[in-house]
Order: sequence, then C-alpha cells, then structure tokens
Amino acid sequence: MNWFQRSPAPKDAPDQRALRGDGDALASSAVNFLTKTGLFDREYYLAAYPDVAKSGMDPLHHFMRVGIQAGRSFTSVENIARLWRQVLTEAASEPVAKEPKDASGLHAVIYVMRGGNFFMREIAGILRAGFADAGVAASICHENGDPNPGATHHIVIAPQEFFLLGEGRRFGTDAFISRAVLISTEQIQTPWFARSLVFMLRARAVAEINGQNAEIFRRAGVRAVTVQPGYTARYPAFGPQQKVDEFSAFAGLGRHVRDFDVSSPKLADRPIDLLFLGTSTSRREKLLAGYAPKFAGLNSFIYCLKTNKPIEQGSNPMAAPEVTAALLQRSRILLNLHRDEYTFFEWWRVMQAFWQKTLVVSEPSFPHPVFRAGVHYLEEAPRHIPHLVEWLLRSPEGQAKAEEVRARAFQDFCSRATARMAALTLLEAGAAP
Amino acid sequence: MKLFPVPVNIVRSQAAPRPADVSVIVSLYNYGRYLTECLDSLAAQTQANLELIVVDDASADASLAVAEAWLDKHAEAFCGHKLISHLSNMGLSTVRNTAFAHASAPRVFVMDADNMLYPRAIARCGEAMSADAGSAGAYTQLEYFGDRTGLGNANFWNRELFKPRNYVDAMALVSKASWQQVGGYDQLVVDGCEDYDFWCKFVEHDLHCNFVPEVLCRYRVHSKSMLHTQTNPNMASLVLDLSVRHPWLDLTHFRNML
Repeated sequence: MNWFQRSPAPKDAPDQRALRGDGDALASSAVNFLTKTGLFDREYYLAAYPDVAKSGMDPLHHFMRVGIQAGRSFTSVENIARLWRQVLTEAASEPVAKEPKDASGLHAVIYVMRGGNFFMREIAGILRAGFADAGVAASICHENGDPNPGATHHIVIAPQEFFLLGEGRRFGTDAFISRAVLISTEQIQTPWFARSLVFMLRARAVAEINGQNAEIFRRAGVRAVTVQPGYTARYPAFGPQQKVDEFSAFAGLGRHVRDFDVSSPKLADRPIDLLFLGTSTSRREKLLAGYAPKFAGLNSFIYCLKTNKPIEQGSNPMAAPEVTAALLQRSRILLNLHRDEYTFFEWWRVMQAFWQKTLVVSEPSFPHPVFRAGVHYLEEAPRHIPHLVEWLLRSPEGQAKAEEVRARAFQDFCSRATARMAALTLLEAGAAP
Repeated sequence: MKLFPVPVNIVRSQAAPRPADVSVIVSLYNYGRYLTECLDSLAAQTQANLELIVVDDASADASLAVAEAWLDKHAEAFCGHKLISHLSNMGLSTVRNTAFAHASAPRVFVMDADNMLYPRAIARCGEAMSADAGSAGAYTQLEYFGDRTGLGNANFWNRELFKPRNYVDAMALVSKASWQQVGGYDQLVVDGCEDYDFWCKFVEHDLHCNFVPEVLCRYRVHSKSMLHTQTNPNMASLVLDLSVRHPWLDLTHFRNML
C-alpha cells in the first residue's frame, strides 16, 4: 500500500502536546513498548545522531523528547530484520472471526480524514461495506463531522494523521481513544509509527494491516488484531469499469485499451501486459530503470510517482479507486516491488489485483496466512523478474500458469479474505473488555 | 521568432517521396561521441514514414562529420532526411526552431544528440496523440542513464504541477501546429530552461499533451552538467525571467538554492 504511504508535510503543525501524550505515564508506556519489543536500537540512534551523546540524555528519552518530532529514524535495518525473524518463526494462522450474537443494536463509526490519502478513504469505504455484509450498521465520519450518537464501535483509520491534524484533534482525548480501535497503516521502522504509539497504547485495540506488526504489538501486551480490507460486493468502485472515457488517466491510451471488454475471460486478451503503481523510491527507480530495456517492448503502464504530498482525489487522475480497478481489469500482470530493503508486502495493492483477476508478480515477501507464493501469486528475485514476466506473457506454459494462479487468487480472495471478516474482527476487538 | 534570418547550410537532404508522418529532430552541439547511439536508436523506431532532421549548432568537435558518415550508411532507415548546420552557434532554442521549420511532417519528435529512444517510443506517443482529439503532444516516462540510474519526473499533464518546476522533458512528440501557435522555442535572458518556458506557453494557450506511462525514452545524465546546473550562476536571472514570462509560476523555492 505504499503508494499512498504518507503525508509528511501537514499544513497544520502537529499538536506537540498530543504527540507527547497527555502525561508522563503515557510517554513512559511508549518507552516501555519500544524497549520491550526491542524496536528501539540505542547503538544505532547514538551513532546516527551525534548530538544525542553530547546532550548527555538517555538515547531513548532523547528520541521521545526530540527525535520523534524531528522525524528521526530510531532503528537499524538489522534490528528490524532480527525482530521480524523472531515473529516469523510463529506460523501465521488464518483468522477466524466470531459472529456477533445480536447485530441489531450495533453501529460502527469509521473515522477517516477527509483531506488525507485517497487510499485511507478507500479502506473506509470497504470496511463500511464489510459491516453491511455482516448486517451491522456503519457510517463514516470525517474530522469535521459528528459521529452517529448511537455508535457502539469507534474505528479510526491512520490515527497519527486523524488525531494530529486539523479538526481531528478534538477526538484525541483519553475518553475517546480508550473506546476506539485504531487501524495502523505505518511501517514499524518509521518515525511515524513511533509517533502513533501515544495513541495506539491508549486504544481499546490496535488493528494492524500487517500481520507481523500485530504480533509485535501482542508481544508487548497490547490488544492487537490483523485487519485487511477484503472482498465485498458492496463496493461498486471495484466492480467492472467498462466505461473509462471520463478518466483522464486513460486519455492517452488507445481505443483497444479503453474499450476492452472487461468481462473477457482470457487473461492473455487483456491489452496491458504489465502494470506498476507505486510511489517512487530510489530502490524502485533503480529496478524499473534496469527493467526498461525489457519492458520497453511490452505494453506497460508504469506509474512511479515522485511526491511528498498525500495523493488526494481530484489532484491526480490516478487517485480514484475506479481508475485503479479499471487499470487492473485491463492488465495481465501487476508488478509488486518493495519500496525499500524492508520486505513489507503491499498487501492491499496485491489484493486489489486478486480482486480484479490480475496476476501478481512480486519480489519475495513475508508470509501471509491465506495467500502463498506459487499458489496465489508468483515470486521471483528482482534480477529475474523480467525473465519470469517474459515467460508468463509469451510462452503457452507461462500463460497457463498465469491463468491458474490468478484464478486461485480470485477464488480465495473472495471467500477467505472478505471485508465482512475484517468487520467482524473489528467488532470483536472493539467490544468492551 | 526572429526578424533576422538564421544563416544555415543545408549539408545534405533527401526529400521524402511521400508525406512523412513524423519528423524526428535532433539538436547537435559538441555531442559527436554520443550521436551514433542516438541515431541508431532512431533508425530502430517502429514508427513508419519517419523523417530525420539533424541540426548542428556549429559544433567544435567532429559532430557534423559523424552525422554525415552515419547518414551515408543508414539514411534509408528514414523516408527522408536533412542535415543542416548553423554557420555560427545560436543556442538550443534556435536549433530546435530551425529543425521545426524544416520538418515536413505534422508531428515532430524532439531529441537531443546525447539521448536515446526505445523502439516503440515515437509510435507510442503518436498513438497517445491520436487517442485524444485535443492532444498537442505526448511524452513518456524517462529512464535516466549514464552517471545516474533512475526514472524521470514525468507525470500527467497538469498546470499545477508546472508551478514549482518543470516535470516534462523536451524529449516529446508535439504537433507542428502547436509549436507554431506558441511561437516556437524562446531564447531566454540566458541559456537554459527553454523547454520549461515552451511547456508554460502550451499551458497559457490551453494546449495539453498526453502522458504515456511507459519508460520509453532514455535521458543521459552527465554528472558534470548536473553540478553545473546546481551552481548555475545564471539561475537567478532564469528564475526572474521565467517568473516575468509566466507570473502564475511559483519559483520561490529556488531562492533558497541561490
């Protein structure tokens, strides 16, 4: 999901008090968390920032007081790798969510920033549909809105943005946060993750989009679940997008792409051979530049956006779920490249492809309880990705493999990774203890 | 456009027997060492009925001789060609305008002699223009090569994105009519930023180009020239000139670099 990762340049400066938490107790719980999980790397922090030693402060306290607001990194690649190694040894089990005994009195409010990344609002829309699939009333509330007075569950997407910027600050109270489930979308090695801790640690539960992160939270004694948006029939943006003439992203594509019959059953008939969507990092740029001689011969759609701003709907022709779906429905392969050396899987992007029956080709990634390399998607080392792509597109064996894998991915996505299940997991996590 | 004639020498030329669909124009100044690679990549284009126009800006190196020798062998890859040389050095804007003026096709692909194309580049840009009735041009994503590897800054055409900086390279297919409509490439107060100025004029004339999200054009990065750009002593003049020409630009962030 890195495409939409971050909004690093908020118009409003974050409320410094909110960032530190309401009191010392809170700050110390964040300190405990970073210590207990082993996330904070003292040696790394000392070596990376010479002013820390000069200050005479304890490195972790220096980070909490100074580094966190300056957006400093606090852990090394090696440390993260070690941590994940430990977490990964535990076999991830497929989630099972309990049905509520009586859904009639329930109402879930999903909080998401209006001006934020369109990706966050996409997740909000899918979760609301998931609640509907589970027979539970749900509504979406923006930072300047009023939540439904009958709300029984409060779910906040990207809390570090919602509670820190603009009108959302009024929700950042202990009374509210202690009843809420917070959906974390940050990668744990980032300073934004550290910032989000002051909220996460006060919440009723944390819902992690990444299973490995949820496990790290649980190890520190935090109530945490894994929640990924999933299949629902109630999200029309991801339904068939046959008419695309009003999407300006399609203006330079030929009629054979725009008018392609998206109900066509054969993958090989799709007009775009290869699709890449993601924000630019130097790693991705180097890989894509290296692939250029091979991919220049394909019908590709490579959108590697250089931005440090949130991708808002209206400001970018690509920033709409309908456009993502329309592109996926016309593409044979979605290419997944990690943004950096951390092998976080961009699960939501990948599952969007499953949903649209597009074959996913990815670099090696962390395991997932449902989706497996070789079964639901294909994995290859970066240097051989062009060779795999060539085989999948051109050879009859490759085409047959592509058909098999994308069919299996679609089938299991629709049955085993539903938005309904995500909603049920959130209900259970948000129930009063 | 100039009141005075730009003195040129037509070194060699062969008219196309039928109208060309696209003219590819190559501006050449002291890049003889890169020219062969560039022209080879043009000869390998899948685009049919392609005319080649090379304009040498009074290079001090063997550029002109390299161009002549290459044409001796490969001229038949194009439906017609012209090799033109400026009698004195006139600058990039004038080179491109000379080339445009000699281009016989309704669409012109703009090249510099140190860059290269992948075979589908011109045809794919043409397809994008044909797909959009109002299109004034088309450009692809760039691959940086040479002293740096990476991707270019290309993105969808958007007036807002032009405000802080140029993000559309000169390496693009444009209709000759649009070039005419905006009055060609201007010579700014000092050399540089002529492509930025060119696209700003497109915006002001309500012209738009189409972004082709494929990596089909190769942009050679020279580490020396990048350093040169960062310490460009003329930057302040350029920022001022561009801001006067296009008051809707917001180049304030360049102040910090000066």
